[in-house]
Order: sequence, then C-alpha cells, then structure tokens
Amino acid sequence: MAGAGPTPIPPDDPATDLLRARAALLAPPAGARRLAAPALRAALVDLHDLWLTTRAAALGVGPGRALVALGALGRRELAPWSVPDLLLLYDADRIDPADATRLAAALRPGLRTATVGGAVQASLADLPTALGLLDARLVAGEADLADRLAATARRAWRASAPARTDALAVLTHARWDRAGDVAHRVEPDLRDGRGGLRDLAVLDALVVAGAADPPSAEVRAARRVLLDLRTELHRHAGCARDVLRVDDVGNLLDPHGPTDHHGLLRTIGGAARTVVTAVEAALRPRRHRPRSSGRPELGTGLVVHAGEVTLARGASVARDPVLVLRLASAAARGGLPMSPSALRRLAEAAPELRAPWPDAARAELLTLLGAGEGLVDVVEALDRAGLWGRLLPEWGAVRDLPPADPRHARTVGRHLLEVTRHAATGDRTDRPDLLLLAALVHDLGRGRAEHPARVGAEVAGHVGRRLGLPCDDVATLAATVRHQDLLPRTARRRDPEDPATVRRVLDVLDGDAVLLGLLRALAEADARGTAPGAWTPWTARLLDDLVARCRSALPTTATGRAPRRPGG
Amino acid sequence: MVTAIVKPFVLDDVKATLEQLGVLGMTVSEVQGYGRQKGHTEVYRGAEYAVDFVPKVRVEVVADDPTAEKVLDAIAETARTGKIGDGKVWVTPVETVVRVRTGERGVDAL
Repeated sequence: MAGAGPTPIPPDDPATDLLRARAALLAPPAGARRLAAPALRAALVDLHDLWLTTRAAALGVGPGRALVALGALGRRELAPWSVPDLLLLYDADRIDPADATRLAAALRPGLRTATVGGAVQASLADLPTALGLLDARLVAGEADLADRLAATARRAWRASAPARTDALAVLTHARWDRAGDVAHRVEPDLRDGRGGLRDLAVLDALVVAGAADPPSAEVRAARRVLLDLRTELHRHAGCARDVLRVDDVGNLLDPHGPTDHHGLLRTIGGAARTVVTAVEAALRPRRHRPRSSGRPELGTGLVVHAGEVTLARGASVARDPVLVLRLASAAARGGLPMSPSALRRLAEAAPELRAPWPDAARAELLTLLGAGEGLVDVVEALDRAGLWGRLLPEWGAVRDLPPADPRHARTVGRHLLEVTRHAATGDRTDRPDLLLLAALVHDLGRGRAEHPARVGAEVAGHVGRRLGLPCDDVATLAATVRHQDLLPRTARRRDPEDPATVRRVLDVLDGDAVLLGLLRALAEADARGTAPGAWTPWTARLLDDLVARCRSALPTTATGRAPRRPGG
Repeated sequence: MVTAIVKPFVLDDVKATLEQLGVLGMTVSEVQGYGRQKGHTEVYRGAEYAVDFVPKVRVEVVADDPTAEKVLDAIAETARTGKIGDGKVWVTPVETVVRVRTGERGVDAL
C-alpha cells in the first residue's frame, strides 16, 4: 500500500512534535517497520496520550481538573487523521471556571470545559454528546473526576435511553439518508454510512442502555474490518477522509485480504451488513410500535406482531415453500420489517422452491418486486438471512460487484433493486410483470468476460423458465435483457428521421410492439436507478421520438403478443 | 469560441473530426430547443402531443483564430444531413483564457 506524501507541518504549531511523530508513524523512514492497521491505531493512541499527558502536566492539570478523551480516542480507535475529541473537566468547588477556560485554551484552542454535572446535563439535551460521554477515558489529571463523569454519564444514559431511543433512531436514519449504504455504494462512507462505524457507536450505546445484546463475534469482526479499512484509508489519503473512492482501491488491496475491487467491496459489504443487522434489530422495537394490540392475519401463516411481519403459530415452515415469498411481499407491501426470528426459522427449515415455480410463488414475487419503496429493505433482509440467494442463485455474482460504468454510484446488486423499484412506478408497458422481472435480472450478466447483455439474456432465460413463465414470456424477457441498450444507443447514435434507423430497430425486435414498450420502460427505470440526474427530459424526448417513429412504422395490427395478466 | 448546436447522433462524428484537427478538448451539454423546424408532434397511445423543444447537443470549443475557422467548417460539414433541424454553428470572441491548473493564459492555455 502506498502512503501519501508528507504533510507540511506548521513550524509555530504547539503540537509540532506530535505532528512530526504522527508523520513518522504514517510514513516510517526507509528500513523501519510499517505498522499494520491495528498496531498503527494503538501507536497513535499512545502517542496522543503521551503528548497530552506531558502537555497537561506542564500546564498544571492537577487536582480538581481532568483531561478526558471522548469518541474515537476514548475508545482507543483513533484513525490517523481523526481529530481527538477532548474535554477538560473541573470541580467548580475547587477551580474557578475562568481558570479552567484559560487552561483549556492553552491545551488546545477551542477545547471545551465542563463540570461533571454540566457535562451530564448537556448529554441529556444532546444525543451525540450523550453517546460521546459513554466513551469518556481519563488522559491526565484527577482520576476521580473522570471516573465520576463516566459513571454519572452512564447512569444518566441508562435512565433516559428508553425515552430517547426513538430520537436516536430518527437521528441514525437521517444520517443513513445523507451518507447512503456502506454495503451498496461504490464509494462507501466507512464512518457515517449505513453499516459504518458510527452505527457501531450507536450499538455500543444501546448495549450500555441494556437495549441490545453485547456484540456478537461477527459484529466484533465487522468492527475490526471497518476500523482497519478506515485506518488504511486515512494513511493512504493523508487526510481525514472516510469515503473510500474508487481511486483508493488499488492502495487498499492486501495480499492477505481482498485482492481486487470486487473482493474489497465484498469484504466491506459483508461487514456493513452484519452491523446493519445488529443495529436495526436493536433500534427496531422502538421504531415500529405495534399498530394494534391484536395479531391481524396477513395470509396463511403470517401475522403482524410488535410492528414486524412474522410467522403465525402453526405456520407450515417446513412444508410451505411459498411462505418466505408471502412474508416478503406482505412486509414490502405494508412497509414493515420482517421479524429476524422468522427469517432465521425460514432459513433453517423452509423447503426449496422447485422449478418451475407454482403460480402462487410467481405472483408473490411480482407483488414483492412491485412494492416500490418497500422492496429494497425487504430484499436486503432476505439476502442477509441467506434466503434471497436461494430464490435467485444468480444474485451471488452481482451482490457486491462494482459497476463497470463510473456513472453508477451503487453496486450492481443494489442497482438492480433500484431499477426494479423505479420500474414499479412506470406505466409505459402493457406487461408490467415482465418489466419488473427484466429490471431485476437485466444486469445479471455483468462481471463476466463475455458480452454482459448476451450473457444476461441467457441468465434471464434460465430465471424465466425457473419461475415457470410461459415460453413466449421467457423469450420476451430474454430479448428485453439482450436488447436493453438498443433504444438509448440508437437514439443517441443514429438519425431517428432516417427510415433505415426505424427499420433496423424493428428488425432487431422482430416487429414486437410489446418488446418495444418494455425496452422504453426499462431504459427509463434503468437510468433512474443509476444515479440522480441520469434520466432527464432531454433523454426522455430523445427516446420517445424514436419509439414514436417505430410505433408509427408498425402495421396497425402488429401490437405484439397479446398482453398477459401480470403474474400469469 | 466555437459553439455548435447539432443533432445528438452526429456527436460521435463531430468528436472524431475535431480530434483529426488536433482539437483535444471540448465541452458537450444536452440542450433542447428549436429553430425553423418549430418542433414536431408525437403520437403516444393514440394521443398526439406537441413537442415544442427538440433534443440537441451543444458543443463548445475554445480555439485560436486560425483553428476556430477550421473547427467551424468541420463541424458544419460533419453535422450536415440536409434535413431541417441540423443546427447552427457560430464563433464568438473570447477575452482571455486561463488554464486553472497551471495559471497559463491566452493561447498557451488552449
């Protein structure tokens, strides 16, 4: 891994020696050992502790005062360019607040001061402060003050947490909306993203509050993965950047770990999914309160309980292969999460759906795919439980696959779900069922050496047959995937006014008006699912002009194969 | 600066032609508008819609005076299909140019 160039150190900075020592740790001189990520973090924490202790002693941080580390330094998880979060505590009975303020300014400009009572009071009004204080650790000064802060802050958090967990969930979801999913972004935010390091801090806080179990071995392993990657990212970037860019990938590959971009995203995605599962389970009971005290039936074997769709008593888990799809479509339809215990039971005991799928299974799948907003979270939950890959074994090849096109902001797997979500909202085709399926499978041919659309068409054919589609529909599905780029490519590169252009399109599509409509609708959903701004009125007009010309050139009776009832 | 409004499908040919002229940089944007053609109508599901604005691409090239004339001619030649809506190409004077990375100015910045 290549290190970044040396960062200039301002000569008049009081922390010059600290900065020099950090620079030496990050870019050791020739012949010196390059520290691995965990050792580098430990060395950085020791370095900061030593420097702060020395400086605090020199400035007289003694009885009645304590320098406390919060956040990453408090947890001993400092990344190379993290700014240490510090607080100067003082005892107001013994120390004048003005003296404490002067001392804090001498230690570091802008360093906050507080009494134990004042800090805890502030934590009751501000959630991030409350979470930060949970990591409080003495660096220098009076240990008793720091211990009192840690104990009082924890007690206050435990007492107030039941009433504040909803607010914590809202704050967490707002952050997720801003930073996106770590598991699905091509350029994930390792700290603020959904499944990132901030979520682990939330989880830690919920554990302290008794609202979550202590982290499992999987969560602890995920924490190490994310911390190590963030450490290496800081070391390589030479700044406090937590968004891992595509350009960084080559410098973060490791002969002992992921050796390519797909492998790296797979490692990150696996860790982030583990974190998301844990933090969502901890937040969920408070986010989704039961809408009623009863247990309304949603269909055979399903009920809503505690705001989750779950299995009814007596559900035929081991004998009902469609149950998992009924659960998923009910959850997506209702905008509710699925119960983790139900997913575990299904993963352990549900029988495989045999090909060709029965009509009921296909209908539930189409309901799920057509659920719009609810689709993504439900499929993610199925995937984390190992159930989505059993329904669609081809998913494994694209789950964390980085896109070839740099305009794509998400992994191929997440792109497929986004396109399906957008396909559910369109009305430009007589076959919304085939559009949803085409959206779901249109990029399953990515990541292989062969032509993606050609491979994708073959895969789509396999999927269509497995789902039990009629032969004509299998052919239409495969053709939609095969020719997914035909309209956008033709509209941009050929003269739509030239009759030869229209003839060429209709020849490729064998004059099939249904296929033409599917391709127009898929083009829009595909662009909308790619990135904000990828579908514009300009693009729409360009495509619509071509499609209108093609439709005009079709014989009036040539409407393609008769529209089929969705799901049939 | 040479500015051209042309049909989208000629863009690849325009780019290739300009590359042959040694023009390596250009700005391309997707625009909508109409000239003499006044747009057209489109029929979708039996209904006729007036399409006032037609998709075009705008190509902008900053070049020195002798090259600008060649660029203008090359774009006009390449983008011509002979049909209504082929677009326009025009040249406007540029006061000065600065290459942001190096600070070079004028012709050196091109």
